[in-house]
Amino acid sequence: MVILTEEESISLILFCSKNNSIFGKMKLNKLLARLNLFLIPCDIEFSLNKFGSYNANLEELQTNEYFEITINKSYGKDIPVYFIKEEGQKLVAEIVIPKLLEIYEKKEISLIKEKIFNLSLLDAQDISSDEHKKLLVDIDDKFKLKQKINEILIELTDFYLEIDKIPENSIFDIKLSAMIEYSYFLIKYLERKMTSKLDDESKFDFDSYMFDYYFIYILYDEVLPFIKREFKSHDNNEKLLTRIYGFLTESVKYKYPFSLHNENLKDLLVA
Amino acid sequence: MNSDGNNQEDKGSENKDIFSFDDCSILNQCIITIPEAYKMFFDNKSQLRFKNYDRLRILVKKLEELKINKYRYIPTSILLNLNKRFEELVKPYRNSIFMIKVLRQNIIEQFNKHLEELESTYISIKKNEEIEGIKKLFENHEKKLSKESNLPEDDDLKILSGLHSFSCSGKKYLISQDEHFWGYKDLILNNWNIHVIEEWTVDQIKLC
Repeated sequence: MVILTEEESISLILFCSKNNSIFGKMKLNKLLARLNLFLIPCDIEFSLNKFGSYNANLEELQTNEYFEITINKSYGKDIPVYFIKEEGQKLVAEIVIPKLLEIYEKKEISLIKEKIFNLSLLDAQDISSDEHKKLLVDIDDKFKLKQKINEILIELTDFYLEIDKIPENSIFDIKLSAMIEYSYFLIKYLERKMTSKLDDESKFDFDSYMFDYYFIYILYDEVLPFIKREFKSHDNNEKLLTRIYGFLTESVKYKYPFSLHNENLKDLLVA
Repeated sequence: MNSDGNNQEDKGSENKDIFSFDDCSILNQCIITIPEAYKMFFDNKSQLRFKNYDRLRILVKKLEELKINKYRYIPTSILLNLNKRFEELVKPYRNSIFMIKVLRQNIIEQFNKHLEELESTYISIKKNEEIEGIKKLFENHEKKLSKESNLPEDDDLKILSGLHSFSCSGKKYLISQDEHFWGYKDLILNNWNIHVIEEWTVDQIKLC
């Protein structure tokens, strides 16, 4: 399973960014969180604050063999600036890119690099707004999020009811069935968990895991279109299936309740 | 590969005996990690090893130390075996396991990864489609087996036919737990000079 370490993730972001550097920890935070929307699991835990996805450990980052942190005085504040070093460039070329090639084609990786570069031109606030819009984390978007959850639930229920029609004659079909099954129970879990919170439109969901929002986004934007395409035209895109299913099942490991690594997962399953 | 489609033997090896493993004996060398969520169905074990795992590992280690080649059969009927193996694993819990397709995929993927890792360490012997003569011989000598159907399946016959046509200056060994082989070991030895070794006895093989 592909998962980037913290150093690998930061090095990748710096490698792809303008001038191979990032100004400010909030911007670095946002760009790292964006890797999840590219279905690139990284070993960085994000929680939700009013600015969206956030990781407290990034406050403690120090210069190391892969990147350097200098302090820039801006408007009377000390702003950290992160630069990639030669070892960091090497890490990306020799470790990160080969990892990504397990789940992405070369041209797709080029596209991701381009997206990260373009995002690096924005300021943290703009990246945050874009993230909020995509993930529907704002209080004003609660109704939209509820609607989205319901739509995903209805569609995945239909696919789940058809699941036994998939002949398990290939590794691909076995994985496709597994993904439909996992996605179905995941959305049921999310629907039950989030519906009551979303009913209270005045409150921001500070107790939420960021992965609740990532998974809703991915179920809608990646899983459903993939399943529809497969049912219609049998593309058998193994890399894409591995990427999506791998992200759903392996990106969270011990950090999230709905996980194959949780020995009490059975208690979270809704019939 | 030679013209039969079989990989050539390693010419560096002094020992020209063939130690071949059927699909199941290869799968039995795999350790399965049970996802935490499913441990309750497997006596809370986090890893599963198959019955003859240790014995097989002893043999494989000896073969590797003595630089004796190991052989496997292609094409594999691997998905069939993987599904069969999975069903055996979950049989006692079939009615209570949740998200069984997820578990199936997880375990089959582990088996598959194990096989991919092994590929380069085994030399391939192509299964031979010409099985009519072999099939007839078994039919004429049919006997009652205790665990399997009386007669070997076509895939088993293709393995025997493939090993029979594979050139070798030494002895030919087929390691298996399949009663279709060990149940007919005398017939197989007398007709095709192939020594069937029951998987549970492999640690006792004397190698030189």
